[in-house]
Amino acid sequence: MIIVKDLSHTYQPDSPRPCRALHNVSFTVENGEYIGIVGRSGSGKTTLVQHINRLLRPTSGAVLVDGQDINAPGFPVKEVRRKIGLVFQYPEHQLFEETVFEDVAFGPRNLGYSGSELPGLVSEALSLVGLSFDRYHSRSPFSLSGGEKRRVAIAGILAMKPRVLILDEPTAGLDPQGREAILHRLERLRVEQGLTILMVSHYLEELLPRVDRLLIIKEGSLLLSGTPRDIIKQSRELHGVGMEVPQFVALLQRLEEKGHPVRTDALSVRETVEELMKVMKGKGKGGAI
Amino acid sequence: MELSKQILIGQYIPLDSWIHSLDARVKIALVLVLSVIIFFVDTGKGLGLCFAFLLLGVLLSRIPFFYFVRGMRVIAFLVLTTALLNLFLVKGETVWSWQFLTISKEGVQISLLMSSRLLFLFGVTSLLTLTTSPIALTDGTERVLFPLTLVGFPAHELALMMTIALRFVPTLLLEAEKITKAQMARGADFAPGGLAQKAKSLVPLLVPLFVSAFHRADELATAMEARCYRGGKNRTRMKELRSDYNDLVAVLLVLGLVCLLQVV
Repeated sequence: MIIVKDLSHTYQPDSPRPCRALHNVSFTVENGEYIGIVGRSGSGKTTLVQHINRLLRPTSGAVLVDGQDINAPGFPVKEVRRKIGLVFQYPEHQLFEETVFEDVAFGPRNLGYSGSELPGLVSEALSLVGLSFDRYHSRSPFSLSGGEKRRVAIAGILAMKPRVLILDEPTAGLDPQGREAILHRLERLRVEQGLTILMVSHYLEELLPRVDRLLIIKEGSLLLSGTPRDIIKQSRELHGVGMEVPQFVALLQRLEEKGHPVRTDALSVRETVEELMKVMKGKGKGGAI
Repeated sequence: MELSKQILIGQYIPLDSWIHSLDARVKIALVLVLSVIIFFVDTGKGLGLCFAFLLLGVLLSRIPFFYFVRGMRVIAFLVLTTALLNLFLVKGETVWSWQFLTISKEGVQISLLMSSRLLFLFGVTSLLTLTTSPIALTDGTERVLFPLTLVGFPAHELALMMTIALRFVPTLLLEAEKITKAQMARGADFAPGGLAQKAKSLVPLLVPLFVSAFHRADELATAMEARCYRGGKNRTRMKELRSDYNDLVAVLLVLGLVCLLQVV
């Protein structure tokens, strides 16, 4: 369980122009939850997630992982990094080894896993992201396609066996297929490995049907928090943080405005289609569009 | 952000002062003149005069005096080594000796002279970079080097390289910071053990950094070609450098110093 309590962060606090990136953010993440973090660029999402595995230290406030303050003096950093895996934005930019195997093994090696354990860890991590160990382990990471590189980079984090996985815009810059593949893999990871997942994203569409809870960040503060259905109803607030509701929700809202009895909290195209079907059937009974 | 604090490249401080307002070409030329002159100065009085002149420059530039002095720490090691080497190695009239170490009268003099010259050199060049924006600096360099193009010297290309290098310092610093964090998230430790271990631990940082730097260079070249960049020939400027009577005053001040140095 992760507890973030009154977290504030100011960059360059002593300079003439301090930059307040986070302000009194508090929330709790239960084990096994899938959390989506949404906000426009520069709202503090990345700063927030970097606090959770102690890449940044709070200016004030605390981050507790399993009841322990990870910023307490003497708290072992590697313990935090082992428990909480953080996949950066464009993680493929951090690949550096000569082979995929060596790159994925970099994290586990730093955590002190011995040489004999590495092949098992690497092959498991690669299969979790859908890459065959035999086909990929001896290739150079620089010879792979963009989507493959990203999956190797994510495998590099998974090989460290984290219990919490944080991803900072994992689908940015991927084509629809690569995007779908990553999202699908994440859901399987959660079901099969019981991982807790926090995902930062710009796209409400990809979070809505998947996550248990959404956190909406605006200018360094937590603006809204709730289930996707609760959040999607507050389209005005979403508009205020530069997020538009997905087109299918907008469609249902328009229908509601016109007086049709539809629910407007659909989370996916499929749910929307079901609603539309109801309206169409209603028309058959004498309703008017 | 942490890294950018330690590295003082392109340490331009935008203030509104008389020195800031001078033409970059004039400033560069004067710094060159001063750098040459200091090697002809070999008396205490002369050195005193030069440093008084430098102090005047710092005061006129409105740069906080202590900030300026703190900037000098960068070359403290070089100055100290120069001083010590000269102190012990220059032969002459012995004034002090202990075992194999001897200090001569000439050694003391030369050691003081050399370290003062180094300090002065660094002082005037710092004053130049602190008061001149990188763009103006490269622009000025190009113009000062312009006569050399007659003998085939690539002045424009050199200035362009300087501009690009300066432009990408902050970008690469941010990039380095991001990669450092990403590797730390993978359990990397950037400060362990001896030199060899340290060098090895930098590989996960340097390889991605170089890869991205090459990518950027490639993209920049494409972007420049897409906008028909063909080198410096027949290129005009949006901001022309202009000299006015202030620059004349600066030149006269330096000339005055030179004359004074002749007298004392």
